[in-house]
Amino acid sequence: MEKDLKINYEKALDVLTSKDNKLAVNINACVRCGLCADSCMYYKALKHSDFIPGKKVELVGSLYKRYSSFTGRVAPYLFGAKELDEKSASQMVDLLFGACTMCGRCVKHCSIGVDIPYVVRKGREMLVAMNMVPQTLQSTVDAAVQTGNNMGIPEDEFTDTIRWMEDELRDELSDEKAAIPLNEVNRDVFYTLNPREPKFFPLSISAMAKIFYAAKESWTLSTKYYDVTNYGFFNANNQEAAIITRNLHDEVKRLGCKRLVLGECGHGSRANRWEGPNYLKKQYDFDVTTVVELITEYIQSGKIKIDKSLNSQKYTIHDPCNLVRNGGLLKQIRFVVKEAVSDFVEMNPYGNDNFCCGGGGGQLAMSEYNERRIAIGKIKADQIKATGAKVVITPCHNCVDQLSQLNHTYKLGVQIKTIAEVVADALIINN
Amino acid sequence: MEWYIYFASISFLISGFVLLLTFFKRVQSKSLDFSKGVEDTNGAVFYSFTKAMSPFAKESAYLHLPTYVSGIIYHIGSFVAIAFFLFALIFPNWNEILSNFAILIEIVLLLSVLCGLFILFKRFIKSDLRSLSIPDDYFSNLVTSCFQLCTLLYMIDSVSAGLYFTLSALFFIWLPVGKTRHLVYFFVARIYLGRFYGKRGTWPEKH
Repeated sequence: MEKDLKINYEKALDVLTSKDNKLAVNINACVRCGLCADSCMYYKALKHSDFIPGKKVELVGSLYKRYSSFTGRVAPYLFGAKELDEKSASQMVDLLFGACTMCGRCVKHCSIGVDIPYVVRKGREMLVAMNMVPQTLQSTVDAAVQTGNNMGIPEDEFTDTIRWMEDELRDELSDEKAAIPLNEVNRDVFYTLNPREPKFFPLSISAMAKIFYAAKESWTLSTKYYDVTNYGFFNANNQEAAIITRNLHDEVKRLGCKRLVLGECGHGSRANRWEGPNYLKKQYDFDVTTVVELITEYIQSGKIKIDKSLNSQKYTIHDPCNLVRNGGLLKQIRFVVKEAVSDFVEMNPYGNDNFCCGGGGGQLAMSEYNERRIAIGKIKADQIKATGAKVVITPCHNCVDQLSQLNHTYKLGVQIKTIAEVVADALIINN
Repeated sequence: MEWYIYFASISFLISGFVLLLTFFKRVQSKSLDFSKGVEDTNGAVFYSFTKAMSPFAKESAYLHLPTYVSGIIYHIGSFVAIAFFLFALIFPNWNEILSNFAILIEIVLLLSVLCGLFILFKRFIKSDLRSLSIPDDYFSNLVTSCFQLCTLLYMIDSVSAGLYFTLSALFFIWLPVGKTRHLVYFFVARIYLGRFYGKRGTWPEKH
């Protein structure tokens, strides 16, 4: 047992190689000024010094200094270098998995510019090596690796749901030719979904299908690999993240599609667009874009027409961290929403400064931290309340899930919608 | 030339060499980025050092103005003290050259030392900050503040050249070793950050 533990520690310490320049820079740049505290939802909501983002950097940094720096080996007390042991490992689980949504808000506001989520992810990689990933999160990744989607939805169940939505679409459009294509080859667009859509929110699939119909798009879904999510990004197991990425990549190639369009999922978009090629260590030879950018193109090119007066309630946007701050889509999301609704109000703060919904970083999958997740979500709930909006739009199904729970807990009385749903409601289709 | 001037000069050169070496070693990202994004991130790196550093852009500044202002003054004081060290090394008759300008430097240094002590005091009394701190945080502050104070006292002729240059030498030896090494890591971290946000199109922010 003790020997196993030692082997795991050694593997974990391999993550802290001094050859990782980005890690070395971020650890050595932090001056522990503590000014990041007020930018973190956990600290703001729970007021405990453990939740200061700099503390998470120091937690990983203390081990880095002990094992990968000369000064930490020579004078560990002076430089805050610490041994990796059971206590520090369990503290890492609690703080790096259980108290960080990896939203990166602290990064933008850090007086230095330390990439704190990068250090947190390295800490999570260490916990992967020690087999200490929370089981709840790991089972989500296992489901994706074993079944092709993180909810383990069987292929026939998925197909039934899609056929049902297709019937609904035909009824709504009064067009028997309206379709949700499955496994079609050589299409322009390979579309992806968050498995929450077929499981809980099938109407968001038909909303997007309606948009594709209006744009006369050549598109398809795969019945096997349609999952846009990649929780391997959150559990920080790069091998598993690569398997999930490869499944999707190979399916796009198998069906011969020109463009991979990432459905409404913040971390999924990031994991596939920005991290995916690095997991596979190659450039993709097909385009990768988000559905937000695709709808932007449709509107700008006149492929779809929308009437904003059809959405006349007061709307606000919740910016998913991985699409806006970490994805650069601030302008595109606003362009689409302002085209699709007539009464729009911003949250305060919004855009690159926006607070996470509280469900990022894998928090939604880790039920053991539910209480914390809902507690930090009060910040978002208060933001929503202050807008006076009746509908919150967010292009991320994980955010939809967290916001729905906040809606219930904090009695916000709002509707939560995706961008596709809002655009579909305002579509003008002349048959 | 006196031994302490050699000692301080060599310490300065070694320190500078190590810091420069660290910069060039660390600024290269070891892993290739295969994702397709904005190819030229230089604009974002520039933004990272300019508008993104504005006190209006960062909560760490506008929510903590006294600390932010103290930090800025403290850092200005450090650079002024280093610049004076070089000046005094090159021009032994520095007091004749600087003349009345010396008073301005002395005021900056005095303010800077006070700000350094304020930051140190804050670290001692605030429990959140204390729990985050390691001995290096206190020690590096003391070393830097002592260097600034000694520079000030030397300028007003209250300490000997031997003590000033010896203390300066110790400061330069500590510079790449302690937390003070963020002198280099700050710049590299902001370059990395500019590349990260630049590739994704987040920076430069468009309003």
